[in-house]
Amino acid sequence: MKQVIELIINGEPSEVIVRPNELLVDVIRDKIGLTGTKKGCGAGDCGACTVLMEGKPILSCLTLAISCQGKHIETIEGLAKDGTLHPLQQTFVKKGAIQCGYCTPGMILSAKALLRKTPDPDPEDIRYEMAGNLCRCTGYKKIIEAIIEAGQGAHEGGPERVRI
Amino acid sequence: MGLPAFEYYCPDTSAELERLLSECGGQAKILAGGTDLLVQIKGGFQSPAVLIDIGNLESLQGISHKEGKGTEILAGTKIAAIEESPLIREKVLALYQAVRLLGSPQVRAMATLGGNICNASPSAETLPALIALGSELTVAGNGSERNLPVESFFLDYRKVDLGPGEYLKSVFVPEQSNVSGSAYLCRMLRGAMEIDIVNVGVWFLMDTEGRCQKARIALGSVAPKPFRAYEAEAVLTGKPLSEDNFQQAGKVASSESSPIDDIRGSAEYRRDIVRVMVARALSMASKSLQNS
Ligand SMILES: Cc1cc2nc3c(=O)[nH]c(=O)nc-3n(C[C@H](O)[C@H](O)[C@H](O)COP(=O)(O)OP(=O)(O)OC[C@H]3O[C@@H](n4cnc5c(N)ncnc54)[C@H](O)[C@@H]3O)c2cc1C
Ligand code: FES
Ligand code: FES
Repeated sequence: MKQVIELIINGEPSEVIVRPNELLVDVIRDKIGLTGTKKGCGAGDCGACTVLMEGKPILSCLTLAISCQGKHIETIEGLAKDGTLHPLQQTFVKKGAIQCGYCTPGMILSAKALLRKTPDPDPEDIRYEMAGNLCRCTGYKKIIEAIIEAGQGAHEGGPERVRI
Repeated sequence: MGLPAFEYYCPDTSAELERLLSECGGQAKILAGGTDLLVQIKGGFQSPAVLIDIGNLESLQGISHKEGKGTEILAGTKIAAIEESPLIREKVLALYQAVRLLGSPQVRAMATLGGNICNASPSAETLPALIALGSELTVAGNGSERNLPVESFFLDYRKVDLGPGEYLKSVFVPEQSNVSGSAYLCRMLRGAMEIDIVNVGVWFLMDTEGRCQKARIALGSVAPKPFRAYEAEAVLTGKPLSEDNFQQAGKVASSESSPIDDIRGSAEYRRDIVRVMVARALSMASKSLQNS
């Protein structure tokens, strides 16, 4: 019982054929070809597979692709604009909030949703809103600093502006 | 980790949902947020032949309030929508306290209140709060509806009172008076994303002399299903709201629980922590009363 669905990924509509039992994370990675979204635990615990759906962070490892007909989905690939990294990407690089990088796409998308809700978060807000993203490398401190700095706009036009 | 094959339906109306439920019989499972069900299917604990996704059913989503009566939350309402609702924060504080402790932002954005109730985990976050607040459920299906107190919905370990063709439609939390207090608390190993060691919801109503007229104490994670500690409630009834009485109620609640040993804590520890948490929740509820 395959079905054609339309997903609007990073603003671009894509039609994909899916079976009911296909997970969103697999469709994004294997059918759309955007491998920035990571698979970790597959059970909702680690947040590596986080994407934004209609602006809200969700777990693509626990979402059936077939249930996402017509939905707007944002992945890490959608963040850089016109060759310039998103402010969160810049502050993560600058602060050393990335080591192996496996958690980073999910971290940055959760952080983006957090900053939309709370533009100037304190560490307590960040710990609450980022509780669903695990990092085995950084120890979280630099991630918190990077989010605070991105929120304060300290990245804007600074010498650390990164071109891609 | 692929999923086994199943048929998938996504009804747009409640009538279509009812039709699908009665046609598919016991083969079908409702899929709400999927944060319990898909984990269970992946783990091989469930293998339903049919999934009926209620994500498109607007008629199952929303929060409304009738002055003097209470607050209705439809079963498909997301936990995040409950957390963000000013109405819930103002009218149903203990539920707000409970949903803040449920999972992570991602889980709350996906998970529904109906899913938390119907999955019926003994440690489910919202259940002690809803029981303590005296909530009622509306179950629908087969062309009719019935109401029942939330605590009688749980029959046994992860077993709920839903017959063939039935589904949970809504939760009704009665209006809290300004002489009632309530609170929700839980104990877990880390600050978030943990299965609780114990969770407690309490509620009481004062009489004109400042004594406790009625109380409800609901406990999760320390028995096969969430339950009311009736004997502990009786300790409070007719007595002044004092720390001594809260401590006493905690002791009695502890003797009413039947926890198990597991990796999160021993039965002995859980029984002791019930005593502490019940007294603490009662004290928190009495402070919320003094502040209002
Ligand atoms: C990482 C992670 C962390 C979590 N943390 C917590 C936590 O801290 N506290 C907690 O309590 N839970 C937690 N959960 C469990 C889960 O998120 C909640 O129980 C959630 O509320 C389930 O809702 P859902 O909409 O996702 O349900 P689903 O998984 O869609 O459904 C759960 C069950 O209920 C049935 N069902 C759903 N809606 C209805 C309905 N309207 N009528 C009849 N049957 C229905 C389904 O058929 C299924 O059997 C966590 C889960 C994950 C993955
Ligand atoms: S892969 Fe989805 S939460 Fe870990
Ligand atoms: S940078 Fe390695 S897991 Fe976070």
